[in-house]
Amino acid sequence: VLVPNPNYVRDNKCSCPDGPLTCIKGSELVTLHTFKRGRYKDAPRLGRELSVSVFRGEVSAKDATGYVRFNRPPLTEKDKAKIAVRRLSVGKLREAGLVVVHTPGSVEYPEHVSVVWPPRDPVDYQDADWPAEIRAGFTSCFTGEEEGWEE
Amino acid sequence: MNLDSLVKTGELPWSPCPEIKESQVWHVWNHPLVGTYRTPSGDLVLFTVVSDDDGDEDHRLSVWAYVPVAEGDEARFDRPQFATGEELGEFVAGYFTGKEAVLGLADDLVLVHWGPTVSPVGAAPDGLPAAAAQFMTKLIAAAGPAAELQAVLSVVQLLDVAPHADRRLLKI
Repeated sequence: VLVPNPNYVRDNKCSCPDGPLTCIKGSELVTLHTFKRGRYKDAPRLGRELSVSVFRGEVSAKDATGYVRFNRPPLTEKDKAKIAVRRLSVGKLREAGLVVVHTPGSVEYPEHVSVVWPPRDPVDYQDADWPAEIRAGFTSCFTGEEEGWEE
Repeated sequence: MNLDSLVKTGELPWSPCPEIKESQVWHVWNHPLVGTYRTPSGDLVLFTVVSDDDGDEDHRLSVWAYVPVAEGDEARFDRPQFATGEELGEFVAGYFTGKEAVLGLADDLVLVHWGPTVSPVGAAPDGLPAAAAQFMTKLIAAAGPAAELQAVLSVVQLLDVAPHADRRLLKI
């Protein structure tokens, strides 16, 4: 079984004064991006990933895509039409049993955030095998606000 | 430096051999996309995704690139900061330009093929994608004419060039 080392959640945690687990307040929103509108990730890929990536705050589909496709050729209009972002409530993610860890990495904007499970020792240990109720909880944190690509 | 020691099949693209040391992930989207690691012999290597599968369950192939970092350049590779993803992309593509590199093909984020570039990587922004395309063309050609035809037809469908009504006829 492949273990997705290194632990990039631990290695990229922020150095904010409040610490990576509490510097993002429950009243904040995070942005989830997709290349296939209507189909959003609801868990990490087992044996490959440790967390689900989101962005801090309300990030546009264009800026989120610029982060993800940092070195790749321009998108076609057809591809842009499939891209979307939706907002998730940080407070609801925590109520659902997930942990929101601020993990900004080398790119300043948008700010990268990792959604992690289980809540015990989340910076050092992450389990990608999210139970069905945790996946459903993650999806239920959608605020209803979704937007597509805008120039 | 021997480029054969950079990557092994059966490994994750960002951790491409079991013996790597001092791995540093710079950029993550669900999984690492850019970073560095040291080979057992102490050489620093820059890795980057060139074409990701973007989490698409129907299309799980991704292409990755690896290049040794010259000793004199190492100071620039210790957790550098970039204002945007585009700036990071320019830095990474710029470092590959003019260098021999290794490319790897991953299926569901596990390396299944790798090989050296046929010539030094061209200038950004097209250098790495062009090198990756050459690498994939070589792999497809080695797999035989049927695979080559299937690959061409897949691209035609992807580009939406063929008439929609005839798409079923294109399956071989």
